[in-house]
Amino acid sequence: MVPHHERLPFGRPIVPLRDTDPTMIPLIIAMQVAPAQPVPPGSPPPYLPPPAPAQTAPAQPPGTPPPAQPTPGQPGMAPQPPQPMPGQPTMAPPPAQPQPPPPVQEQEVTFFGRVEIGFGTRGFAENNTLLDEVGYGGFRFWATLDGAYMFHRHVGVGPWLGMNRRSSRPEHDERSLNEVAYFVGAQVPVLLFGKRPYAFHATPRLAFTSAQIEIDNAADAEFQNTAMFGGAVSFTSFTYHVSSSMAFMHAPTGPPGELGRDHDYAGLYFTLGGTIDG
Amino acid sequence: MVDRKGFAPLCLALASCGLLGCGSEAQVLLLDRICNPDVPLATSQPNCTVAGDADLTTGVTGDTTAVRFGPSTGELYVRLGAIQAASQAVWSLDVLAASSRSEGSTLYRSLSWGTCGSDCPSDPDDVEAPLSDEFQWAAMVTDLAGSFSAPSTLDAFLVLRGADIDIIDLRTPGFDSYYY
Repeated sequence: MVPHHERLPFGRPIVPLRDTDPTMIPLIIAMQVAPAQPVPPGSPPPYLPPPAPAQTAPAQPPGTPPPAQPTPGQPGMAPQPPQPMPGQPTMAPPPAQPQPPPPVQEQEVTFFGRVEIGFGTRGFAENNTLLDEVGYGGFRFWATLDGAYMFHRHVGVGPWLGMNRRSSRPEHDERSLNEVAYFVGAQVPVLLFGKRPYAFHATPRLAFTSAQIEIDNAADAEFQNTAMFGGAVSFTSFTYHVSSSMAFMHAPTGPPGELGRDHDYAGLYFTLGGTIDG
Repeated sequence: MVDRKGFAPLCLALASCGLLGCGSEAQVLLLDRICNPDVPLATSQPNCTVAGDADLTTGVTGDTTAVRFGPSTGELYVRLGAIQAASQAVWSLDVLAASSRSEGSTLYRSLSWGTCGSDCPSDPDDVEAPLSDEFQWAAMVTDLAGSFSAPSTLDAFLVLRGADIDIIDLRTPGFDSYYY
């Protein structure tokens, strides 16, 4: 038995001449002896369909038309790319359909660092009120640096440090009131809700504070040491590296002077800043 | 409301207030100006002297001057020549003071023009002001006639007297100038 069709190397089928229209014989011969397209080195060998196990083609009576050529998409047959005829313009492959990008998975914030500056009120202790009475007002400038390691998705712990400063100079007086506080401590940020793009934290804070309040005169005032405690609520976008916080801190001390009253080196303040995270 | 154009100047103003200080209309810490022992004097005599159960100490900050009257009666003498408002035609003076007793105290004021002579007004009557344990401004001189540019003599004094009283500041309402 002779199979109805075999293949030359490179997958070109052999069409039996006895089953072919005699007028097409020259064209078929030209196609079969034409040099095949060279295979680029490293390319995989052309796909040859595996022979059907233990199946042989049934005998065909003479004059029976040959079976149809396999067409792409036919079950069990490998799709064959169309071979351009010589002189036939090649068709450009259809453009690939744009695939929607896979959804970006925002990573959890494991740690973050933040620097913020802002302004706030003076303290709420009685000595602050006395300073208002004698004519010293002004805002308090804050600069803070903090960070945290989020050991839990919602809870972290980290350092918090910074300084605040107030300077007030009355209109008819060349002597300024200068108040400065330096603090270093720890914080426990708690993620209330949100994720990396938008997150809201509530953060209790506790810090050691060394502070001084004095007038521009011939004498010097001593530094006072105390604890600063309170908390902040923050809106942070780690994606865009921005942060905004509102905090209320309390740094109570005894009277800075003998006849003064209890003083507070902190207060209510608002800050803006930038973040980094990982 | 602050529009978008006004936001930046507002931020700059806040930054200036925080870093450089904001202005205020009030006169500040006149007692520290007059009585601070570290301030060089314009005359051979000190501007302030204390007598009895009284001493100079620190006030609202650790480097400002204040006066404490003890349980026994103390006195503070302030030279009138050191109070520039007293050389005006009319002047006033308030004292920021509190009693160190829960039931309160009374602060007394006397004033003597000394040997200023006919160019100065006559000595006014004494006044007194009740004080609680909260600091408050007590009016001790109200629209009195001043020396009207006549030089005050070294023996012209304002005297504050009392017991269990803390004084942390003086002010001269209506007089905006430097005090030296």
